[in-house]
Amino acid sequence: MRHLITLTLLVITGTCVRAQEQVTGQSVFEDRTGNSAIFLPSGGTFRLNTADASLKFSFADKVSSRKLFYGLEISGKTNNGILPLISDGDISPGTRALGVIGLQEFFSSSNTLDGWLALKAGYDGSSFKLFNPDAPFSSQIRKASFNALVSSLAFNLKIQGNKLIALSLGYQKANNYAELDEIELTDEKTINDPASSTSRSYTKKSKVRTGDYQTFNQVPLNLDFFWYPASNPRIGLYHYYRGKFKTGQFTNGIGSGLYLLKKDNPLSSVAGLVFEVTDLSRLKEGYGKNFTISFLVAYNFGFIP
Amino acid sequence: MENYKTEVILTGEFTTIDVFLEGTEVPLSETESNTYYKEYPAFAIEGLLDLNVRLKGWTGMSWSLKIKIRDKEVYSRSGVFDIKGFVTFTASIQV
Repeated sequence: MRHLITLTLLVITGTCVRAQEQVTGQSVFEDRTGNSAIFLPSGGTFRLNTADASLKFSFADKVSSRKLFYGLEISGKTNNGILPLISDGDISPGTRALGVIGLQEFFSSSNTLDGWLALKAGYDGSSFKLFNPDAPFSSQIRKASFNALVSSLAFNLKIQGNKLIALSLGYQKANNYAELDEIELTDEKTINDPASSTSRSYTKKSKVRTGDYQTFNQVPLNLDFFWYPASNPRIGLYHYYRGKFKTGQFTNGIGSGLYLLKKDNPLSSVAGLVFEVTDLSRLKEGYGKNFTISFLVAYNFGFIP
Repeated sequence: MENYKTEVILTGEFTTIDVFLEGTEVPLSETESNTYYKEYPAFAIEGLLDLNVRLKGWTGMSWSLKIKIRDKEVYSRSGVFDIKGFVTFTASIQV
C-alpha cells in the first residue's frame, strides 16, 4: 500500500507540473522495454514508463536555421519492476546514458513530408544478483554487473501531420537477464544468547534470477509507426516491429498499442494498452509464453533548462 | 534603412521552422517548452518589414507567431495545423 501511495503521489505531482500547457518533447511511444526508433528533436522531457519501470530524461537542442541538432537521453530503471524504483526496496538498478547528434529538415521542399536522422551513442550499465543452486552454498548468490557501449542510427519520416514512420539500426552488447527466471530467496538466521538463554531469528528476502546467464553482441532493428486520425486526435495507434540479430540467431517480434492522447496535444499520451509478441518464431509454443499485454502510463514533464 | 530592436516569438510543436525577415532566415531557439524565440538588438529594416513563414507540425496542434518591434507587437498570427501539418504565409508589416 505504501508503494502504491508513493507511485500515485509521484504521478499526481508530475502531471501537475504543466497540466494546463501544451507540453511535448521526446516521444512516449515505446515498446514494453522502452525501445523506440522514434526521436522527436525538440524540447526536454522527464518520462515515467510504468511498463518498463524506468525514468527517462531527454533533451534536444535545436536551432531552426541549423541543420544539426544535439541531444541526450539518460534513463534509470530497475530490473525488478516499478515499485522498488520509487521506494526503498531491494533494487537491481540499470542506467543508460546516450548522446544524440542529428540532421533535421530532410525533404525541405515538400509540403507533406519531413524527416530527420538521429545518431545515438552511449553507455548501458546495470547490476543484479544471480542465483546458482548447484554452486557451493557460500557462492550461490553472485552479484554481477553489466557494462556496454550502445549505438544506433534512426531515421524518422513524418507524412502529412499525423503519421510518423521511424527506422533504426543499432549495435550493442546485450544480455539475457530479462529471460532468466525470477525467484525470491529467503535466508533465515538464528542467534542464540547463552547468557539469557534466548534465541532470536530473522529472515532476509532478496529477488534474484536463475538460469544460464549470457552476454552477446546484438544488432537490433526497430521499425515504428505512429499515427492518429485527423478527425479524432485523442486516439493514437502505435505499431512496431523488433528484429534482433545475435550470433547465428535472428529473433523478431511485433507489437501494437492503443493510446489515449492528451487534448490538443497528440504527441503526449494519458495512457496506453500495448499488445506484444516478443518472438514470432515461438508463437507455436503457445500464446501464453510469448504474448504480453502491458498497461503503459508514460508521462511527459516538459521543460527547458 | 533603420535599425530596430526586433523580437520573434513562435509557439507550438514543429518539425520544420522557416521564418524569414527581410529575406534573412531567423535562427529561432527553444527558450521555453514549445516556445521559440529570437531577439535582434538592431535589425535593419527598409520600408515595410517583409515576412515569409513555412511551418511543418502536427495535425490538431495550435501555433502562433508574434513579432515585436521596439517592444511593441506589430504582427500576430495563429492557427491550428490541419491534416497536412503544413502552413505557409507572407506579410508586409508596417513598423
